[in-house]
Amino acid sequence: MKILSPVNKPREVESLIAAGAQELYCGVLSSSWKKKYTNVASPNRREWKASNLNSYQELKEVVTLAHSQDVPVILTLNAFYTRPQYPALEKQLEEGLRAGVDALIVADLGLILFIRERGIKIPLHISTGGTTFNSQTIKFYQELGASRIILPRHFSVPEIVEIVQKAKGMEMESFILNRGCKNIDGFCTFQHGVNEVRWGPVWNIPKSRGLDYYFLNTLRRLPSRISSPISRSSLFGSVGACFLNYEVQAFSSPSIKVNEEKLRSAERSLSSTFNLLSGLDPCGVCHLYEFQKAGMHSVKIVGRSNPTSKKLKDVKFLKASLNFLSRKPSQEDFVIFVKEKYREIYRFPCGELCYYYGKSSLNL
Amino acid sequence: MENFVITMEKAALISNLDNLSLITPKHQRLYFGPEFCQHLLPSPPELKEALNFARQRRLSFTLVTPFVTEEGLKKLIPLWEVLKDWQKSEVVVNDWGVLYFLRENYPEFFLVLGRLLSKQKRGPRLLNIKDKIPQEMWNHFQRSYLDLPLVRNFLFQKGIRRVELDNLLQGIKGDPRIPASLYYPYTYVTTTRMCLTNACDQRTQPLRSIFPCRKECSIYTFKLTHRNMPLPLFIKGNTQFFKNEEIPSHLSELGIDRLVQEVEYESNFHSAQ
Repeated sequence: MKILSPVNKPREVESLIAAGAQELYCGVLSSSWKKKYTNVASPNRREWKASNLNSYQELKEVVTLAHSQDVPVILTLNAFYTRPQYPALEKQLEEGLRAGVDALIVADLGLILFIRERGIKIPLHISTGGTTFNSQTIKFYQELGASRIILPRHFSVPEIVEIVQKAKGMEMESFILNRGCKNIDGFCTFQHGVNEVRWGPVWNIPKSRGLDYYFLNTLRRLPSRISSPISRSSLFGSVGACFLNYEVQAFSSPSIKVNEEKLRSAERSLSSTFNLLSGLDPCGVCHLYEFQKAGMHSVKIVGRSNPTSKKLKDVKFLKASLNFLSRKPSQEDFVIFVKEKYREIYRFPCGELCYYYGKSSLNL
Repeated sequence: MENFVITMEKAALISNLDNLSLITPKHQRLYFGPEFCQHLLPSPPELKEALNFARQRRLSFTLVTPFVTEEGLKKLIPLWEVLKDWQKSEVVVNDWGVLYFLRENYPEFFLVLGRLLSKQKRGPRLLNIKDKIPQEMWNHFQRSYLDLPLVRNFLFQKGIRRVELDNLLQGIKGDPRIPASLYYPYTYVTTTRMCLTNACDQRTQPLRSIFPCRKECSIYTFKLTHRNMPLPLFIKGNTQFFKNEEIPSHLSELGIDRLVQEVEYESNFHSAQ
């Protein structure tokens, strides 16, 4: 099982590979694209300048550094595009190929067909935006020439094991760390990066320095009586739609009435899910045990905009866990090892904020 | 515009047999089934009842299907067996795997590309930055990949004969060469398997989970408001919507010849207006 790490600047390539990254992925948000479509309509689903390389020259540098150590680089072109974008998109594609990337992460049916029609020979990895929830969808993408499927986050462990075992002749990849979006990536149509358009550098500078990460990482370690009100404070109410501190009103259906107490309870419960810590940096490393036995090809670290120090910790954590797994421990021993390693590397307990739920019941 | 609306086919969308009473004489077609959740798929007897209702009322029939896991694929198989005995039945597909399976196994079905796969850009917060973005971007957000001939041709080869569209706040641009349906008055924005309604009346709900379904969506709906969201969001089950009652005036230019009224959502969200 390979460790797939994000990269958003050439200078972090060597350290990530030294830490154990075996594949790298990245996106480019060029100034010409941004001028026409802004960051909100980014070509690669990361709608912040800070998440992306700034130019194809930087991509070339990343590829050169990675290839010098036999590490492939995968370019994300996984937004959903429209017809007027195709001249600019074609240029992005050509620049990426010229830079020497080894594969593309794609989600858009039109782009897949375009690449096929042009006879471009490059492995296609179907993004989580491709919403592959079943084995028939794997066959659908297989016919289109895909070589790898990146699974959605919204799976239980038994479901992942089942779909990976059914995926004949297809590399399978799963998210393993960070950014546990509560909505399904390929079906969610909320815009990201709106604040970068509204506030420009005021928003962008702290983001590019990873201050949002440090702030949230500090917040999550505080006792919940302190962190909860801050995470739902209106001070931070202008972030992504999933984190807005909405006023929530519950209603019972016309046919089934419930009492006021239950409605208020439902309101409190739903309100609590809309906060800055919602889905922050979950971890699925305990399940590498099942993923490996099922035949998972790669595990992906999310968080292109994370500071290099965080990316390095993530890669080292995965590398140590996979090394231990190679010694064929029992599942119980593996989980104990992972939890101890987590505390050692991140310096706080994992808190069991899990990426995936449920143990596999299949015979592994 | 009124003339277009009058000559258009009008459909009513429901997923629960209890709501058949919401169908009125102005509806010519019944859309039956869940778009967003495989737990709400009807049983074969329920599908038969909906089909019988449609036949008795002389309504055309469309089975609506959601995105599905392996478990959902299995739940669909008996429904295909019921549906294949009915002439001229449509199926709305919201899952590429379902499309693949139907083309391989039931090529006689008339297939419709659901709104989960039409890839329109729906988020309402685009309105917050309307004055700060270039025209190219605004145009982009009015479109979807369906305006690419490559995509249309591919979908046609796969048996898709119609596409389902939402009513965008920024307006819609598109290609009339493929018949389209417009859903109203609610536009879906996002959906999840980590259902926010699931276990909502139990205080112990963790932040991230895919719990066994207890169908709390049959009891609760929610309205979300925030100063940075240009209009309220409504939650039904695992899906969030906003309301847009302004039907575009250029429907025929968009190829829209069917209006799908979300009568069940209207009933559910009535008290939340």
